[in-house]
Amino acid sequence: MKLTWRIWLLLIVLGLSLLAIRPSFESGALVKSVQMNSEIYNQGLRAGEIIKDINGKTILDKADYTSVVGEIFSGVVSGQQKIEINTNKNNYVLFLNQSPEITVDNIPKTRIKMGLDLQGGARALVQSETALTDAELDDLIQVSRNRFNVYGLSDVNIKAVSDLVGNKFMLVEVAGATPQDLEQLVAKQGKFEAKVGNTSVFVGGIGGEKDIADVCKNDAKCSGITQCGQSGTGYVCKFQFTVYLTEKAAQRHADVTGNISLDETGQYLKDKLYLYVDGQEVDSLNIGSSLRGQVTTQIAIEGPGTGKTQDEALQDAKVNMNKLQTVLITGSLPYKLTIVKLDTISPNLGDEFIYLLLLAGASAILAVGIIVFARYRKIKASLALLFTSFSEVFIILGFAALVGWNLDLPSIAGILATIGTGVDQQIVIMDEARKGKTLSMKERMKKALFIIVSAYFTALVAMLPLYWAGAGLFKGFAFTTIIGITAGVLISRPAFSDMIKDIEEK
Amino acid sequence: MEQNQVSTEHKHNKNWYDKSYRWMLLIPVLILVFSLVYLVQFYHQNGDVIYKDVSLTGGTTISIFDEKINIEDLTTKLQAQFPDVLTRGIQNIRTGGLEGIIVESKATPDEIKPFIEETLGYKLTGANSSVEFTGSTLSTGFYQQLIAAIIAAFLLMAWVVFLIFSDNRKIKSISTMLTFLGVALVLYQVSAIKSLSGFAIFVGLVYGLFKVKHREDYYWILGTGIVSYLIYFLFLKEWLLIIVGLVLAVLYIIYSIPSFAVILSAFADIAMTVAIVDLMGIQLSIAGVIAFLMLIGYSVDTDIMLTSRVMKEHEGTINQRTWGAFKTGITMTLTAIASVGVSLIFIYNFSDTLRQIFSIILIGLLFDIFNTWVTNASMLKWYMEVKKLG
Repeated sequence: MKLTWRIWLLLIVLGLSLLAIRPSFESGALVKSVQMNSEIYNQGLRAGEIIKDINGKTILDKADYTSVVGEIFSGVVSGQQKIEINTNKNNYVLFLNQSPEITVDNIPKTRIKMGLDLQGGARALVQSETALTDAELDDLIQVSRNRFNVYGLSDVNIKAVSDLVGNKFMLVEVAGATPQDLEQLVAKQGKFEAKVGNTSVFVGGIGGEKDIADVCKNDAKCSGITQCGQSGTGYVCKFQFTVYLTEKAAQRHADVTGNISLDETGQYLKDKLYLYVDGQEVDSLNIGSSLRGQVTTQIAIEGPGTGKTQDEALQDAKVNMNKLQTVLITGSLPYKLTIVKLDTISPNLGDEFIYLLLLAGASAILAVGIIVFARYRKIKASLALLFTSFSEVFIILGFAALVGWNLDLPSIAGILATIGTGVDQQIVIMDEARKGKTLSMKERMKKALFIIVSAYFTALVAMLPLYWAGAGLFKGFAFTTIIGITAGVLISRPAFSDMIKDIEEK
Repeated sequence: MEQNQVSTEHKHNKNWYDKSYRWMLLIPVLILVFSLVYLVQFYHQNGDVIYKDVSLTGGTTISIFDEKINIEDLTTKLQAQFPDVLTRGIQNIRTGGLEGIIVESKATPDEIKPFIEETLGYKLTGANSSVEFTGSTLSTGFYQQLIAAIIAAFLLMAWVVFLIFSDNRKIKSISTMLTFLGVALVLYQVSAIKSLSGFAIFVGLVYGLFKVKHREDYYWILGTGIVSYLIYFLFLKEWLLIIVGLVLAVLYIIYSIPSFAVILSAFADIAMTVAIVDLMGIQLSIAGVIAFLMLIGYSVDTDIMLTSRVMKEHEGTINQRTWGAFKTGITMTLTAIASVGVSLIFIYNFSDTLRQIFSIILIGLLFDIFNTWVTNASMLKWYMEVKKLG
């Protein structure tokens, strides 16, 4: 076959797409996130490194990691364990009494990113109760991002979206497993207030004019679970951590407590320190008599966790502590929010779904191939047609990988739709090429391209409004369709018409 | 060899087709009228032209992945508490076995989840279930926006078709201004679209005034431009769309019957598909509404091919050209049906989203065969014969 420049262009673009998709055959477990200030974080491990082996055992994938780490910290073995982690960048030796505070995943086989509907995860669309300006929305996103970071979730994507009628939303997407507290983290305003009687002593938030200087977190010396015990039919655990107040807040504390008398025992003050989050009482703390009227910058905050078993109670206490520390550190969100859409999608059917989609796509192309062959009885031309269809899909995937587009369900529907329309237009080219010989091949190809370009513009204008509709949640459909038909008109169909010209003229 | 075959078949068809093609138009007209009457009546009964599922009315969809789940038992217990609950099984295509159940309700997850957990006896977590919740204000908003997107897409499609097949510079200019005024009327809240429309009206105006042949044309174009801009800047009200749409339809009928035939076929595809979807009692999701947007693109493909073959070529008679276009077009539609149909089989029990999209496109494509080769082809032939073209 004569390789015209159009065919060369198609081949080059296909090569570039392959480069963008970049299949990877590396093995190991990819570190997705590392909890800030944890032991392993301080040693220097960061997200993006690939764990190759642990204590001499080779790690090929996420399952290996889970089983090896599980083995080390399994059963009743208590106390610190030595753990030696080798990554592709460095090796780390740690002594830990629990699993390293990191999340890992399999190394993606390609650069193609799967959307939440396929790999699982959670998505929340959040709207403020009052209309926000762009600057206010950015502010909100900053605070929320900070909150997720402090909480220990780093694989979170937060962005501003708006819809066709100008409503503004904050879109929060968490890939992979769904954190249990997403709902609270996202929409709870997290307004922390400590009161004695009706007087506010200090509120949440570090920095600037705020009341809190520092909060102890991830440091066993001043933050942790203090006691666990049976209570009724279940268990209760107590957590405790230290909060450092600013001088101003400490002075306020002294002023307020100065006028309160002691209770009967003489050990504590009559009034307690009440902790509120979003107007709800979380806990109340006794104030020791020695603290009365004293300017003290260190306050120990306590709270409970409950569960059916001691383990559950322990976990619950840890989660509650983390939540309370988070709101104390980040302060409250500046606006009252409502979750208008919340999807949590289980990752466990993702693989099967991708398998089905590949199967459906391959069968669809095969079915098209059979019909085309039945109609034209020409193996070469039919193969050229299938090759062109396939390359259009490949170019879409390459482009999606290049710009980091998340392939979600709407995007996939768009790709499948493009296969259909792409084949349609190649059939127009084939038929024009085979028609009577009164016109030259060049003129017939020109006419075929006229029909194709016309159809292209109608499809293009039909897709554009979708780009904005529904807070951009269906953008994927417009995105893949537009990329597909544009690549078709500019690259693959001109190449196809050259191939057909070559085949028909022989 | 191929050529001979065409002409014998064509001779065989000729007399019959020439005599009956006008009568054949009656069938699509009747079906279209029936569909529209049905839809109007449906609208009066249900307050909308489609049945909407929870993604459009607001509510919760919970998918529970449990192979041993007892669907009937859970359904009866749920329906006693939440009467609007709908359930269906999820099947594994390879083994045919049950994978789990999908529960749909207008209730919020907070209301319905505890009840399901209690009935099943275990907690629903991210590992064993998916929960999708959409608030009702948001879903109503989404629905209105999708309808706006469909209307804008249809206006733009009609405009492109008219530009392709009409030679009348004056009407091209006027229809450009009116189309983008229409787009601005439905989507003015998106500033990008609004500014783009304003600019497009300007382009349409300049294009029209650039080479005016008659003084009268000059007034028409300038007049439309002024009226469009007055509305654009002072009076963007949605209801004006009806007037703009009607004016455009009349212009297309008067100045380019072939374009109107294409647009009418696309409209008929959509109206008939909506009617069938309603008759089947399908509750449409967001994805289902998007499928109609795809249908606009899909359905004009073959119509454009037919029209440009018949109008812009001069080889053979009209019937021969139509027959040639038919052979191309039917291959196009059959391949599309094959690819969509095969995909539908694979994902039928797996993804509601894709199932709805593919089902609707499949129905639409079947109607498209009919509307392209009866509605559009007959109108085009009639037009060509009256105008003594070809």
